[in-house]
Amino acid sequence: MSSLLDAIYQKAEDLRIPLNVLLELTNRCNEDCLHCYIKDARDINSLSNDDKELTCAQVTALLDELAREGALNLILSGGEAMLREDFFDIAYFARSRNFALTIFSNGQLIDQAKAKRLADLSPVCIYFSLYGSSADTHDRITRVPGSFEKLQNAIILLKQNGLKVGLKTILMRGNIAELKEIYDLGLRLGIETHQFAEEITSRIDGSGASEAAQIDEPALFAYYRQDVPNPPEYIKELPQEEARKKEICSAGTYGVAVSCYGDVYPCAELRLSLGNIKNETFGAIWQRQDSFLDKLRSIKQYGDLEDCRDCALVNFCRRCHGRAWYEAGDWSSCYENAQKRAFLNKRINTEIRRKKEVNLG
Amino acid sequence: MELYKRKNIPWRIIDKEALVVDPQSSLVYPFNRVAARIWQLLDGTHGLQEIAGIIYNEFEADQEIAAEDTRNFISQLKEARLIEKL
Ligand code: SF4
Repeated sequence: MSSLLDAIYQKAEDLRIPLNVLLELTNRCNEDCLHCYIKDARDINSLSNDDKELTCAQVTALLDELAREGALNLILSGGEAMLREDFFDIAYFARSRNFALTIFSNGQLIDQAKAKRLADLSPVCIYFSLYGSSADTHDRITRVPGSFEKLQNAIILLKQNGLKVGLKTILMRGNIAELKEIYDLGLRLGIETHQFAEEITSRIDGSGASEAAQIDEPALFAYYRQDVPNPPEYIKELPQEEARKKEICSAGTYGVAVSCYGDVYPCAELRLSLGNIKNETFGAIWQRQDSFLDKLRSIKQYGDLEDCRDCALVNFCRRCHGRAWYEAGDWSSCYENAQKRAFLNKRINTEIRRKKEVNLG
Repeated sequence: MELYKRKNIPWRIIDKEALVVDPQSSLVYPFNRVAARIWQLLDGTHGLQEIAGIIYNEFEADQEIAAEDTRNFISQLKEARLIEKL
């Protein structure tokens, strides 16, 4: 980062400017992914007022306020955001308020007309999740026959309309054998970026259903020993007093998530509500003194957390406050999966170093 | 010749400085106070001379330096295709 960019981000943090916003427009979805963390299968007509999705007017009032507060990067997410009939009204409103728009979608509702409207919005990128290199795998994970074909068509339409497309693939039991093919499919479709993730977000209903699809450590280790797309980079092991200065997740500083019901969270994973915009303004929620938020904002590096300060795995850990809260009931504590993953990262790192030494030798 | 920001360029003023995003290249440009003020003035109602005059007045700069800085910055914006002429 340039020093001026750094300085502006620091200023945003100091002034509590929510530069990055993730806005979940709905939890409804037309897919039924095995690992989904958010899907809401309730009948929307049966919901009470408090449980109802934000109306278009509430969303646009929020966007208006966020723009005034200095928010710049806006992700419109779901569920499947385009299931909302007012999706384009909201997106065009966001465009009119100069947000840098990113859209997360599953592509199922994108036809030529929608692709053109999306192009009019000049988004920074539209991201889709791709779970398989064939209909067989992808549709088995989305549990919707035909979803693979529709997704491919959506990507082709967006590329024809000059849009930038990103793909996200979660490594799961059901697709780990074909990740190379998934990566190659992305290249053939001409996408701009392809992110691979190995951790599955915990289901917000607490059912644990999403974790069932998660790959265990031995399978991941075996996977990373092969020649893989986007291989992990070698991590230089620092002495403890240096390692503990490693930056930690900045949830609650210049990033924020808002649910489709109006709850404001420090991030989409750390679902501890700070307040609800149906009851008060975003600014009142974001700027007030709140012991939880104040503590969260004061944690800048691993060494600021008691559990992590002297942990031998700190070089290799990529802990998440949200997962800690979900798994251990305390966002600031260590949790089993962080330890397991950090240990796995250490083993992978040793393997990378060994390979390097063999190549040099 | 009036100058204005290219359509659909996301940007935000952050305490008198600015972040400007080019959605085509995904580049994020950080602008200092003077650059951010010039950026704000590129609304299609001001020409280069007028903008240079405002910068000279508001930042108490040397008149020639203000004019040159404004010219240089605007030509960089043109090169980056962040602005258009009316
Ligand atoms: S393994 Fe646990 S204690 Fe160690 S750095 Fe990660 S979260 Fe902290």
